[in-house]
Amino acid sequence: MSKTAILGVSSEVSRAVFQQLAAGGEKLLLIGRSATLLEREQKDLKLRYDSECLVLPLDFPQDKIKPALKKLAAALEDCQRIIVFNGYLGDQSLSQEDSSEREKILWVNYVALTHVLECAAGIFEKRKQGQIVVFSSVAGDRGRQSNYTYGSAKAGLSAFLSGLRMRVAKRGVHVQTVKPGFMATSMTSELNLPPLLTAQAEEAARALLKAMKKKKDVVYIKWFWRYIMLIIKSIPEFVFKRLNL
Amino acid sequence: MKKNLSAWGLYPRHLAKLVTPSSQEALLERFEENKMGIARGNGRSYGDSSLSDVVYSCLQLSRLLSFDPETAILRCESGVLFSDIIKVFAPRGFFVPVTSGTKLVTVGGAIASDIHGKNHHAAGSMSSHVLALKVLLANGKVRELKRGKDDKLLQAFCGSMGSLGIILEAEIRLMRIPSIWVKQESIACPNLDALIEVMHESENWTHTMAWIDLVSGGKSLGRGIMQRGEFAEPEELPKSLAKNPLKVPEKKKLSVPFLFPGFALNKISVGAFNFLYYNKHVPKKKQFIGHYDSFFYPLDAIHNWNRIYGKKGFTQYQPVIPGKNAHRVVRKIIEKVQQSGQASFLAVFKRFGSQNDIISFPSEGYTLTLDFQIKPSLFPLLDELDKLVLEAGGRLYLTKDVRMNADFFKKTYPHHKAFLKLKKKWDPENRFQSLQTRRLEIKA
Repeated sequence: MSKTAILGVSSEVSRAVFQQLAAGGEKLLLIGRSATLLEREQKDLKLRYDSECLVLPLDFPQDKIKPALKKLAAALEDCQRIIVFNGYLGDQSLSQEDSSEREKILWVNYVALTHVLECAAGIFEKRKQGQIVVFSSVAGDRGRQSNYTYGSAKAGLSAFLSGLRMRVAKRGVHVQTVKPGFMATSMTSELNLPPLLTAQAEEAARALLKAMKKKKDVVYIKWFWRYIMLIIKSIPEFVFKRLNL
Repeated sequence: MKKNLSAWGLYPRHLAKLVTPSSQEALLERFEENKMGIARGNGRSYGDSSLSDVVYSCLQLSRLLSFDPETAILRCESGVLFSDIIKVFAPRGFFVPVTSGTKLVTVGGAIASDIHGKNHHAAGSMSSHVLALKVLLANGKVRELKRGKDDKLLQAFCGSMGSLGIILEAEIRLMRIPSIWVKQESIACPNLDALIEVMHESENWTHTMAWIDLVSGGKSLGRGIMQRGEFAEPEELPKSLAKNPLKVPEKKKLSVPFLFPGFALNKISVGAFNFLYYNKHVPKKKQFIGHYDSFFYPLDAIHNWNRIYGKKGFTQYQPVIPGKNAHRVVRKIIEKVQQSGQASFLAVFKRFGSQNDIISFPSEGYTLTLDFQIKPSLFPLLDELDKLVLEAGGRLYLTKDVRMNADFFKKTYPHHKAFLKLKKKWDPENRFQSLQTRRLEIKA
């Protein structure tokens, strides 16, 4: 039986994914910031699926990144796959004025993840097998005034992933970039999202598990976001800058 | 950003800030920021109980925390759905102790509504099965309320409609079941008297209720179908099922995909529906064994059935009528509804056992549930019905209510003063408020 590490457990999509994995008998290692929350998830998985699930409370703060990565590396030793959900939407207008908000957005969504990904890739590469699945975002496909700090971090992450994929593919490791469009989650519950374009967490999780099995390189959730983003990317800059997106 | 929020009745709609915290800790933070509002579960109360300026959705607090098969005690977060509990525990021989007509309710919502089910006469309401609550109080502190220690406040949370605080976790005792199959009898009764007689005869069945055909008048007034059921013992099952009595077969769902135009529900279509329903059960008595879903949750098989009443929405009028003359009052109510020509799609009729709690709805007597499409002429009719209910010493279910006035509430809920005292003690600044608590003047 294989074991999957889940990094970031507090989003609905993450929960839906690890619940579906547990239902299928997959062993899990849940990694997150809050020990209390991890313990609750562990109990829930045990009761629902009689799932063998380990937890590791771990954060990746800027000033203590090295010891955190050491712990992560040790924990990943017996994992065949890691799925990374960590993300922080932040506040765009605050990030324009406040450099610490800006840095936090860039750190959580990009810099910290590059460290995590190199750590996982190194371990899987030695073993010549493994899968790395990372949630990026369509926000990284083109910067927009409403969330370009977050978007730029995701753009960096997507570029990083495509380079990493190229490097480790030659050694049997698969890197998957996931680009969700709108999703109905806690993060977006206060927004009025168009229902047809918005994926429910369980639906997103099902799509993701399927794509993981097929080892797709870049996955859009829902699928038509690939085409929406193609259109958005093809708008000439002199038009784009006048839009209100 | 604000959302146009409504509950199951789709009426009223209210522009609300909806927050959906992913953990209890996040909920505490959001309450600290906003300082007021009301909790919401799966939005299955009918009216304005879960509408406020800030609404805290508990749907993400959906973790099962512990279960002891010896005592059948489950501890879980408040946003866990009954459907989840049943999915996980029915195959192990346990079921929710009391259930509403839908399993798409949360544990927190069921407790705050103190829901009742077909087994009220045998098992009481939800509160009888609650052993502990972990709640967020108005001062921002979290408190564990235990049966035998904090009885007064714990009981007041049951039926409080969220007005005392937010339920974070609950400990409830599940019910043991020998199989997932329900042994049922349906008895077609030609009029209200016959129906009431059969209902009395059925007291030793654990689960009882009746459908009433609201269109028939005269001698057939109140004709209906009595349904009674009991979870079947393995030896009562056909051999194919008895081998594995707790195995749940899979089923597919129908859906009402869009809002029906309002005119789709007129006297003729409702009459036709009721006729079909009634005649399905001729000959008079029918015995069969069915899945728990078809016995407890027939309407859950149709997603979004609330949409058939059109976009103006609907409400459910649910009084309980106590006393010896209850059947006369019930008859008068049906007559008044018939005279008004306002079709009621579903009428459910049930006898409650005795209960006398601080703010809970059930009390000994008969309860009737009538669905009405929202239109201006409805409200005067319901005011008329209120008079009958008040005279008979009855009251209305807060979970269904959307329009009763504060005066009526105070006259019909005998312990409301004691409840308001608790409100004053635990929430002196009225931080927990909904459109309903404002309308009913449930305030310190």
